[in-house]
Amino acid sequence: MEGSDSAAVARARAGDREAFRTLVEKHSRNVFRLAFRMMGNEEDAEDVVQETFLKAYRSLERFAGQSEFSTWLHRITANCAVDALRRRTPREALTRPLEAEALQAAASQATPERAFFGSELRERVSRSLDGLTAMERAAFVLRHFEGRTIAEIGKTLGVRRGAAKNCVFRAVSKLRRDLAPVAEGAR
Amino acid sequence: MKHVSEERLILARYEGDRAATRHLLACLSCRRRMAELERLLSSVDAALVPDRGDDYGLDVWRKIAARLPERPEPFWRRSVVPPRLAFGGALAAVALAAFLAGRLWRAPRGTPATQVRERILLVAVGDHLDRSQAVLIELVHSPAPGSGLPDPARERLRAEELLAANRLYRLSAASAGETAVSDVLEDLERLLLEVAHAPAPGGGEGAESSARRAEAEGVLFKIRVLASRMRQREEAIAPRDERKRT
Repeated sequence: MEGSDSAAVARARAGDREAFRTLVEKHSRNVFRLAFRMMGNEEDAEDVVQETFLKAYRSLERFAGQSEFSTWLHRITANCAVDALRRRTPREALTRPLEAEALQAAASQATPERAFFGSELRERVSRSLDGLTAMERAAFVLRHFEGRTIAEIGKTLGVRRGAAKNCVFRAVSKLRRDLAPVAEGAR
Repeated sequence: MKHVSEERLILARYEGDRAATRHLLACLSCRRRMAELERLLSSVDAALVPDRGDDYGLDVWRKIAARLPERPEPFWRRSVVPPRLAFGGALAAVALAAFLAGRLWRAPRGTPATQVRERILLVAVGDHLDRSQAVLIELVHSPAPGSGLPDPARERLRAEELLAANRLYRLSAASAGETAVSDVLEDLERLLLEVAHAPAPGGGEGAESSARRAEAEGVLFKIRVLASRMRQREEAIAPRDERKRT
């Protein structure tokens, strides 16, 4: 555990709120980054950030110190996000289908069409990620954006290695199906 | 030739797979599929994460502070029943400070009820001193002379939060004849005022910051001495109560 974190965690565990405050201030941005990637919007990500720290505070006794505090917090964030995704009302993943041909045409032209393509691509990616199940999204975000190994993802999400591997595979397959025309346009 | 399955291709992209890599070297079709996968995954990278500023951690703290459950007290306070103050709830802290300071320090001394109240007050002031110490420690250990506070906005806010409670404790201590306490609280108040009204960074306040740091060191020492004395008083009261119960 990082030196400064281990001292702050010990003090927070003994009831020192200021120590916990330093941990919140230090790790909030990283927690938000993961929460946003998992949730796909700022409002839900903010809820996950708060829930993560509240849960961490309540569970400090259970933090054995065998891993980094940041890793432990990361795990709590992922699980809070999975819970939030499961509670989320199912949306239509692609409520406003984008015409692949239009995107390809925009991508092949110079700005401002290309800028339009960039923003549309981001929106399309965001909606495709919304179409994944909670576990698929979590596994994919942890693998693709956070660089976690399949074993780490399994541990974080509390599933076997094989299940974690399947989640990543299913997520990429779905994204591939959804984004292939767009990715083709980006060539 | 048996081509690499989609699942294996995806996992090879992330986890590495020697056999799959060997096959890709020899198979143009699978190499094209891998290139296509790479394009797809790089399009996913287009999803941006909104930036959060340096004060974001403080914002998060403000939102959660009032919702944090109570935790066990530090060991030296476990024998008493302190009404712990929520640091983030400045208003509640000030209200409680006013209540305790006004009601307890002015009460007649010597009765058991007064001793219990005195213990509660000692703990409340002890809490206040702990929080003040945390601010001063950060002030003393701010990065480099002339560079200002580590996070001026945050320090200012914390100093403001402490200031109102400090003023109440100081006035009550003075009117109760607790001059040693009120003197230290007066020094602390002056320093908190300076921190609360410190200029924004970049205003050429280097010398002022250094002076403030030096002053903070002095006040910090006094607070530590006072906190230690208050703990001794608190401990001296606790056994008397317990003896009376048995």
